[in-house]
Amino acid sequence: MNSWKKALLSVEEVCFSYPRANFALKQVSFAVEKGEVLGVIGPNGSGKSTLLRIASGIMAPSSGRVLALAGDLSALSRKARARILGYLPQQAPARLDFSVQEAVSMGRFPHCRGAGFLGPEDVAAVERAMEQADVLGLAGRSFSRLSGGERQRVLLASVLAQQPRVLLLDEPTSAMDIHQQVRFFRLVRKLCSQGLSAVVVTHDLNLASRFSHRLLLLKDGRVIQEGPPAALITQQVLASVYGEGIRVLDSPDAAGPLVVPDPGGAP
Amino acid sequence: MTSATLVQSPGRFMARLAVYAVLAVAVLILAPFFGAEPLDPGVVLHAVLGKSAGVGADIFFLHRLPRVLLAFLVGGSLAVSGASLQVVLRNPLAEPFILGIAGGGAVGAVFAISVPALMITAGPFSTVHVFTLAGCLACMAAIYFLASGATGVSMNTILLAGVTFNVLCGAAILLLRYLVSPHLLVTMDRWMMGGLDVVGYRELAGLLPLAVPGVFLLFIHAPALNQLAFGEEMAAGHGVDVAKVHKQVFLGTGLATAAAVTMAGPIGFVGLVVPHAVRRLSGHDQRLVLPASFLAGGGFLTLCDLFARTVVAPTEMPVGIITAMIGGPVFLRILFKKRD
Repeated sequence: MNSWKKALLSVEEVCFSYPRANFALKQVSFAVEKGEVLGVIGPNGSGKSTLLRIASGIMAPSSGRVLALAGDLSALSRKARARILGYLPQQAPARLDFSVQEAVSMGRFPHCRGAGFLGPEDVAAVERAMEQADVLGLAGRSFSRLSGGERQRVLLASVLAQQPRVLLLDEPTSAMDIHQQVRFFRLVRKLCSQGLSAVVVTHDLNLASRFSHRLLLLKDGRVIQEGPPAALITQQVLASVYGEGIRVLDSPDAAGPLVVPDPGGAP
Repeated sequence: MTSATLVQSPGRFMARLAVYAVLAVAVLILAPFFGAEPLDPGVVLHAVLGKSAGVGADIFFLHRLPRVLLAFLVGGSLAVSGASLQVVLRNPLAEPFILGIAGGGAVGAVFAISVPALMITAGPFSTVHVFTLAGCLACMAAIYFLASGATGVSMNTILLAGVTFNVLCGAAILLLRYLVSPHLLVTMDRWMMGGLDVVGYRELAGLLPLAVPGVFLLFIHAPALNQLAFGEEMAAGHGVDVAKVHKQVFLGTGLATAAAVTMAGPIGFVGLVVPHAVRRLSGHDQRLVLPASFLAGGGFLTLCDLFARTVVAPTEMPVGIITAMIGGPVFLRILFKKRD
């Protein structure tokens, strides 16, 4: 924990509860360093998405604090925050009919003033983000008519257009086929190798373990364990959190163990 | 196609808005010439140049022009309000009166009419105006208060509460109608149908303190409304203060709509139909849709009022009947298209 000085984003003893609900986050802390991919895993309702919303500053914690670039998030304006933290929510509807390129340029909001017309720098940033997320070919298409996986890539591009330092991605590949998923996570790794950091919430334990430098395992609003994938992806740890029905196998390659469903005695 | 040509540039944006502006100005200039009494443009031009005055010029400047300007302001305010609410409430069928504003205003107006002892006229305003405005703002405040909880304002609650308030207000109006002496019913009915026939420049000026800040609040949030099209969470991630935008958009629509209802009664369908037509023609960028809706809504209501003034001349039809007759079928078309 003494590495927090170097952290791009650190969450310190954050608590949060929703009104009239049993769920609460209890004293959650974590930090991500420059270049690091942190995978957040845990069963449904363990608080992953809530934690990501708080880490990205779109919800305020009831106690504890979030530091981005060593500054307290609550002291930043919303636009200043969005220039540091790029938050990609689990779902984003398309209520108006915008083109893909317009959708990506929405990410320039924290850099624009007034009516928000794009200057040359903004157009360049949008173009670069589209190139990185591999959506240049979709530029003129209608965002609302894209497939789920294409939408997720376009929204990632809009987050990249913010030119953030830290990406906070909530189930970013849930609507993608396996090829797209791998491409997406490779892109995240590449961006982090170029100096960004990423916190990725995902249900896919294999993607999480193979593409994260570290994992954060949550259950019932608490951090159960934190560490390198090899330490968390074990039969013992996962069974204690998820219950029975999963098996952890040694993988034939060197990229870490594999998690597979266990059919048990099902007929 | 390169990206640079696809992005909305200020030049292209202004050019498209200019088309709406030219048409709107044309309507504003031409509409006062038509009416029960035919006017010679030459007479009016002479008066403009200060060379002569006469009955014709008086009809043009003192009677028809303020009425045309009022119709334009009311139509524009309603259309901008509708366009904004359709985005914020995530519902293509939302319109300004959904916030209970019409219901509350109608209760206020009917109450003021039903108690003639209360009737006081001060400057351009009568008790009816004051009560209408109070009713509008009270209903809007009540709905906003009911819908705000610990996690912000629930859009679904606003929608449902607005519909419910309008029904409740309908019942209150029926009760007042039942109790009141029958000779006042005609006045009430005329108010409920909406009309623009009450006007001089002073009434028009009295409307500005509400309509101008209301419409201004909506215009400045157009970029944020674009962001909200991708959901509250994505907008917040991009740096939008969602709660503040919601609050100010409701305040803006409330003020603009209350201004319209106070002066002209509940004129339906303008706030629903015009924004949809504008989006069809000009795309979904709210920075263009909002000002274009103001111009198109103003022009539309001015033309409807022109029709109301001329079709059964020398008497007049309530303009609310005409907007409903045009708006109803358009509304149905949108409804059935949604179902496809």
